[in-house]
Amino acid sequence: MSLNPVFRRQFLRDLGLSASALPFVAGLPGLRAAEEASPAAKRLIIMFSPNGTLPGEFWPKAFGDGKPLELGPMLAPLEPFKKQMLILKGVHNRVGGDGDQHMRGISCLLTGCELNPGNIQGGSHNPAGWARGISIDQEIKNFFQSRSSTSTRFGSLEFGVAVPNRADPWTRMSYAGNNKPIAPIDDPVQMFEKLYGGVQERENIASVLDDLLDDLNRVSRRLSSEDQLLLAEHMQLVRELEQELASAKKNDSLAHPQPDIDPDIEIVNDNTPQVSRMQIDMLVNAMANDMTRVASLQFMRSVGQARMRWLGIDDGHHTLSHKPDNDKVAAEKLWKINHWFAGELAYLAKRLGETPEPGGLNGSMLDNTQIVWLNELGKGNSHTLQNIPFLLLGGGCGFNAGRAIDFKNRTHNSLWLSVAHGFGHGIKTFGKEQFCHDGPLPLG
Amino acid sequence: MRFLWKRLSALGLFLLAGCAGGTAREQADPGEHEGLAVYRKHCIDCHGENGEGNAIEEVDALYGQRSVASLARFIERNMPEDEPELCVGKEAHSVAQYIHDAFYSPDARKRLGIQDSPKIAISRMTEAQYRNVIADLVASMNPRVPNAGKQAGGLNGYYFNSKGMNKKDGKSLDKTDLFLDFDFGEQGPAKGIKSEQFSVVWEGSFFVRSTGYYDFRTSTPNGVRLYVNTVLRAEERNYRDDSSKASRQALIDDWVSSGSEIRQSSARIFLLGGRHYPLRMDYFKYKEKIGKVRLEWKAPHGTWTAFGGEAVSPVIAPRTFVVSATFPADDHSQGYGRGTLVSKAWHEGITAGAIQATGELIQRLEDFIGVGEKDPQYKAKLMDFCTRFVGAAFRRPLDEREVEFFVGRHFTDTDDLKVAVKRCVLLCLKSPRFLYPELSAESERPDAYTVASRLSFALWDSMPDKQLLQVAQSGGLDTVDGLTAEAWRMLENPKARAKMNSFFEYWLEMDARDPGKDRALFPGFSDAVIMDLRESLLRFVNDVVWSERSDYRDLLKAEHLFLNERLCAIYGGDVVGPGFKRVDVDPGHRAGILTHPYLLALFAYHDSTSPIHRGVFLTRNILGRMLKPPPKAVSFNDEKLNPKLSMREKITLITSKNACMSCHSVINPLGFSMENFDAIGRWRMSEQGKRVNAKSDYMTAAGEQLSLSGARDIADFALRSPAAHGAFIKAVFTYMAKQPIAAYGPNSLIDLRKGFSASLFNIKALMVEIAKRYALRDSVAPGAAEPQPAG
Repeated sequence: MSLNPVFRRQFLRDLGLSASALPFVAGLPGLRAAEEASPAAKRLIIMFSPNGTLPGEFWPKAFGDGKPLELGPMLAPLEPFKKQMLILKGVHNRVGGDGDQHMRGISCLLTGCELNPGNIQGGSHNPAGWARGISIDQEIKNFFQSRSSTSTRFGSLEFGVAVPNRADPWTRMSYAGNNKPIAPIDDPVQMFEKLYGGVQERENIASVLDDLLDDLNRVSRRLSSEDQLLLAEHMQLVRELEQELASAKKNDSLAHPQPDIDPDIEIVNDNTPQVSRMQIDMLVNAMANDMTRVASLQFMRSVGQARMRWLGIDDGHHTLSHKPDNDKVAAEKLWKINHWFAGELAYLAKRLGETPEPGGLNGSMLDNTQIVWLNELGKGNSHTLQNIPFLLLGGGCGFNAGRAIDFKNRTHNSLWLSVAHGFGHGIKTFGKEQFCHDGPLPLG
Repeated sequence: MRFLWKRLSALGLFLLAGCAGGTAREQADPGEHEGLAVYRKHCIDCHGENGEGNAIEEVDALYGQRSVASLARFIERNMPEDEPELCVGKEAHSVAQYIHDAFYSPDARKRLGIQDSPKIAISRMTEAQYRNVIADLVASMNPRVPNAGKQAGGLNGYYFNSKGMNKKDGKSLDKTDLFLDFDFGEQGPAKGIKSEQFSVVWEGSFFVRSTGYYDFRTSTPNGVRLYVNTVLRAEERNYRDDSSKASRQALIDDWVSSGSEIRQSSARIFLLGGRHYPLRMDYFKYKEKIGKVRLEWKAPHGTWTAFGGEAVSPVIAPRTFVVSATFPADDHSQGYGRGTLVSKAWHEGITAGAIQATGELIQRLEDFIGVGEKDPQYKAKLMDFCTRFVGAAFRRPLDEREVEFFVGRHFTDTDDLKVAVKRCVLLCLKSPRFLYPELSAESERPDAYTVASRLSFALWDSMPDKQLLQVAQSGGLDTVDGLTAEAWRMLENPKARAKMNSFFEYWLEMDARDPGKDRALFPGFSDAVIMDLRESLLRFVNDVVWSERSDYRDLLKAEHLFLNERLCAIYGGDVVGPGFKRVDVDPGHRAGILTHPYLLALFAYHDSTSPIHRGVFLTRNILGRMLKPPPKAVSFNDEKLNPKLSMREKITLITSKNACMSCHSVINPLGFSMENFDAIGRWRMSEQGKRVNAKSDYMTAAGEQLSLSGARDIADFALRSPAAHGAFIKAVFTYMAKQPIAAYGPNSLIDLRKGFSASLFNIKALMVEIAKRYALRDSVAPGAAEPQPAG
């Protein structure tokens, strides 16, 4: 945090959000006050991390009802949330077609349908383009937005962490429809602007208004009487702006004040841990303020080459994921990487868990939020799309949690049907129809 | 704006000697304005019975153009001087109302029989000036000054073979391409480049004439990315097509194909007229059957058209920062846009503009100061940067107090250097010293920097460039010769052309109405034709102004048009191929702008000619004759008139009443003499099978009887008419200065007219003379124009 923290915190506290008369905060939220939130507020968060997992470390020893869920050390950060957790094995991404495994891994993951033929060439298979259909997060968003009791200002928010600035089927998982990829926002400052509009600018503007009035006065003194009138009007406009900024604190309508974001954070690899926490804080805050009920959090991209120096790892992630199983050094690093992702998920769950459900209802936000952590591959060095590591956390869909289930061989389309049904959206198929014949996964 | 030497009088203006005691001179009459009682109580001692002021106490006369509300606000806050709380609320409002109606407003003064010489009113920058200045100010901080793209001849195209996974495999061909419209089919783009996969990068810049939104559209079954007005640097070119290092934001990113479908993507961007902008398009083909790509654009008032041609250049222009905030329209109550009003919407605009500019500077800070955060000199360089920035914004060097107030303090108030920079820039861009172009001098009379600033606003609608400031500093503007030389230099800058281009758009009322016509009656008069005609007209006036002769008379009597192939199909001429060419016209038919088809169509109804619209335009704008507003609005209901009548007969019929004829005796003959041109400006001999009668008798303002038989007769008359010359001079003056010409001395117009005539009607020389008169009034420079009379 390079901004003078005392000044900024005070400012953030003082300003709140309601100076909606300001041009640079135009389009501020019609924020739903907490007490108006529907008692049935349910939420969905998709969290993506790339390049496959370490199956031996990820999958629990025992599956099935009545078997206590035991997590390996790699998932240790998630230990406190075991009771609200479901680990699903045997759920495969069976969508075939054009595109390499990584492409289909991420772009078919939430869509459950094939990619269009296209011009993006991977290391194998035919080149491909964008996915042909909508992704599950957007499907749920549309469902929520279609009803006034569940619609929100944004409908959905797409957060990114260290997603490179390029648009191709390796970097997109959310789709509004055929050929309509949605870019995640990976700059916390940009996201902050989107959510809370112009707060930093207001802070800086407010800090110079006294000086500005001094200056106007000084200049005005040497003008003719007629010309002074114009400057007097100008000063009046400055005073009005000052009052609008000051009155904002009285009308603060945010149930939860916006989080503290370093406006000068550089979006570089080495700042990824800070960026991640900022994004998670904003995600939780946006949901606490009911700006959205659907969000995704995308770490890097498939084939991502993040160099996680904050873990003492200098190699690129994707390169490491290609190393053979017997490469103990690589495995150690991959363990650390996935352990770190688990920690970020744990932080998200913790933040939701410690935020009471708005509206004076019992329980925490986590109790009403379905998180799905997933990956584009089952395993990095084999590029398999079988046994995608699906880890569900929280209570949004009302699944019977606290266990691991091995479905042996089900499509992930079925999982998305379960999620849709969990939110009361009774669709019969999702994605490619032929993968929906078995209906939703029995998770209740 | 007499503030420069009337500081004392301004201060003394509202001294209310012993007035607070309320020694009213008279008892109030019942029925008199309630504000009068307040005026007597608080104001009359200093301001006099009728606001005439007090010479001994140096109190100015009270008159002007502010509204009652504005006066009331001022009184509430400032009057009576030193005790403003004595007159607030209802009292302040009623006294404001009284003052306004009794003697303050122009109407009241007219009633009192007082002749006002127009005053120079303090003005903020207009919207156009503000946008230009912000763009030039940011650009002036850039130590790299790449060449502006002036050289014509297409864009640079770099063609590459590719190998597996979309990777470039060596550059195979460099060539320039005039248009970005290619159908490679199933072939490679050139010999030696394989058809299966290849890629191309096009780079260069393009010029835009007008300010506004420009739309871009790509069409391709392959992959394309378009960058417009981003920083492009030769040394940073990354030619790998799938590079993930793209740090700049693409305007259009349509990199991923979808089968063999030809996809269209479009986006728009706001650009300032008269400038060159960098552009780059990346394209690649991979295994799709067909290679094909097209870039089109649409200018304001334009239609979709192939991108390229004369607008493009292979030289990469620097990025121009363009404020995209919206502003309310500037006051046009005097006919020309000026900055004499401030409003909430305007204040919001400049606040948003300041924020956007701050963002741009912060983002490019390291480029601008040349070192990074870790450099030990970082803070010193930032402070130096801020000092230079504020100086450039205020258009003069700062004194010590100003450096401390606008820069120094912000760096001691916070440890966060970027926050200090932001506060400094925001304060600067909201300061009146920046926003009001003439407010810069602390001295009693304007100095060389004020003169420099006036020159640049008059000629460029923007701030001085480095050279002008250097000339000011070295005393080069202290002599009339030096100033004249500098003005001539400044005329050569594209910004002067941009300003004159918008002058003609304003003077010829090009945006005042829609020239579009009934499609059934005029099937060939498409949007594309209208766009071409607009270009044809602007090309013509720019060609005249910037030629060696720069002769006003050519505007009116030229015997040629600029036409392209599409226009020739309608208006005659033998141009083939792309672009416009000079086409000679029959001098018996056409005369300069008077018969330019764009204007003939503009001043016409959607289905027929309009002699009245044409006549009013010729009367006011070309011949400089006053017309009162019509006493009664009469609409032209064509369907109620006998369809067998000619347009001339119809107009004669509906304007035959005496009340109408006081003006229409002037308007109609001028309009009728243009009846040989139809509603889209084609020459015609007959109307509905009957021969057109374009002969008319016109009585000049001086009482001379003229027999007109066409546009050339009007042109010949205008060329020998002082009123016509005066109308043109006045239009140029007010457009350049944004102040009334009479405020620059009672003889301003006469002097300029004499000079104009002596220079053989040289428009460039006129601009220089106007700029000088505007810049030199009341200045300390020797040989300055006569000082403006006070009051």
